[in-house]
Amino acid sequence: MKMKWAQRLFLVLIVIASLFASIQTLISTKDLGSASDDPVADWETRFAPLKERLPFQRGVVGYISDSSIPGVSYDAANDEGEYVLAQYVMSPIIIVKGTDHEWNIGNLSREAYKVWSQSNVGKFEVIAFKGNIYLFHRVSK
Amino acid sequence: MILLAVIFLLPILIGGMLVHLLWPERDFKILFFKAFLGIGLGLGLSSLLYFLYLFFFAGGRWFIFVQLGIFAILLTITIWKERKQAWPVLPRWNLTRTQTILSAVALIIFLISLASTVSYLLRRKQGDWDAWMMYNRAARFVYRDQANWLESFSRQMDPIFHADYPLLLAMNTASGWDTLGAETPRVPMIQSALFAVGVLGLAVGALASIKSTGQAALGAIILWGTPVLVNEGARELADVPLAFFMLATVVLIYFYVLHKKPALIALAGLSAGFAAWTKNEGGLFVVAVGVALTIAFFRQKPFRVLFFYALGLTSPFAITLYFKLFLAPPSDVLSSGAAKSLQQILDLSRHAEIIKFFWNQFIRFGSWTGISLAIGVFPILLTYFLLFRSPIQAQHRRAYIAGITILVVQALGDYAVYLITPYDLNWHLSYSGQRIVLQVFPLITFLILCASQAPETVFESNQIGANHAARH
Repeated sequence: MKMKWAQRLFLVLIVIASLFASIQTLISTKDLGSASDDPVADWETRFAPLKERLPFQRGVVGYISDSSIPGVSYDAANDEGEYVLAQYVMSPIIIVKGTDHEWNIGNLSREAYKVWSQSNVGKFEVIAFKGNIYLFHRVSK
Repeated sequence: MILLAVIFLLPILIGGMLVHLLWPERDFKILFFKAFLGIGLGLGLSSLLYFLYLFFFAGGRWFIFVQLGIFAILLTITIWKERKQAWPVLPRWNLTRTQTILSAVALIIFLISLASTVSYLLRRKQGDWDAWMMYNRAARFVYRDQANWLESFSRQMDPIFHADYPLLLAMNTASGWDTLGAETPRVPMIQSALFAVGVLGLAVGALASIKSTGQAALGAIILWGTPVLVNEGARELADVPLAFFMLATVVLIYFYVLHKKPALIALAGLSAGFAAWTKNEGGLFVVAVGVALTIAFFRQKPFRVLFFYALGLTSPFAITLYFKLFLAPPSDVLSSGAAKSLQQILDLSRHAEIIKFFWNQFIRFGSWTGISLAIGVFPILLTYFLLFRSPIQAQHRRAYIAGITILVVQALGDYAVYLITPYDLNWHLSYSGQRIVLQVFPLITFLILCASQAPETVFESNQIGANHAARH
């Protein structure tokens, strides 16, 4: 008989805990931000002018960010996240880290761009866009 | 909006009719299970067909007519086969008090969690991190430059984007965009939600048929009351779809043990093949199922069972193998090289770290937030099993042998991958470990609830429900 009561109690606890957890899960989705926000779409808008300036719609372009510039501080998680988002919005263009390609994207803070431009004088034609985005066209090896 | 509904309804109906034609069981609970099985198998089939279609007609933009053609053929065959059959009798809802209460709670939890899924999807329209990195990115590559879709698997792409990942989700997303003629986030959103609801429907249908209505309701309460399953189901990733195919495969093996219909093993093979087409871990699952069937049916015509398994498996697995061997870039997980891998295998501290991580997962996975429980769902399931365990009938035993063997082989395979991973072990475990456990969580829940007494047996002494539950 005691066993039966233990079983009943345990079942009731499972039901209550699950019900409570499901309500908590619903409430916690508020922390994800507003349904009207779409950070990925914002990122898409940010890269749209750069995509239009590229002379091709598929191929490979280079990519550098603050983490590529020695001595510049950066948030590693943000830096990696922005790299992933850049590839996502640039699809079907493949982006690879570095500036070895003819066309390269710079996602650089002002400080990082300043440092980068000092060490790359004359190597690239630079097209600047809003939001600290740059397109570097290699003009010399 | 109508077209958006059609692009999902077509594969689901194709899947449902295919399942029904191969397994024309008409019991209402089985029909319920088959309807949900049809979601996953239909989406899997549609994804494979689109992959094949692209080889010949990339840029054609008329895939919907392929789907319509298949739908028409299957509908004709179904109507022809069903013409002399009586309509399935709707069950009489003579639920006991326990069944009514549990079903009502399960329905409430389902609705709350469905609201969570919708809320999550609306706030993360393009999915989460891995969706941008892999599945939706791959879909964009295919859709945006369909004529050159094979470039999606370029070896120039950074390995972190996993261009080698199987394509079930990406192909469905791309084909949906293709039909709509627009790249709307609604396609991956709906696909994600369908698999999330599908995995629940599979478990509920199977438990209702194998055990009782009360046990099915309890299954729903546990599964969709677990935040990690609800949240992951809305992230547009491949783990919940993989969990769907893993659960479907094992349930179909269970039904084979009960009904002895070879078509069920063929459907299990198809489902396992789609697991491989969903995620790399699915390839391991295919092997695990093969081993499990050999062991479980060792004394009962194993070759016959394996033949039907291979029959269902062949098409999706052959296409997956073709993709992995001839199109996809090499997997980064196996990139350490033999010497370094051996060194890592011999490093005892790595073993200790992996075991510790999974022990913590066992204790804390899916912890029910809000009530400050430091304990996860597995200790709760284990306690439930210890309190409610019931003797397993001899005729059901093979199903458990198969299910447990699959879990063991899958766990060993995942363990081996972590041992030889080229990434920092701590990072790799914390990045993917929880989702590895999530993939088998519905399956473990199903097996435990099948091996336990139903709630009716403890709340009702001599009512219909208790008798019904005791029958199993």
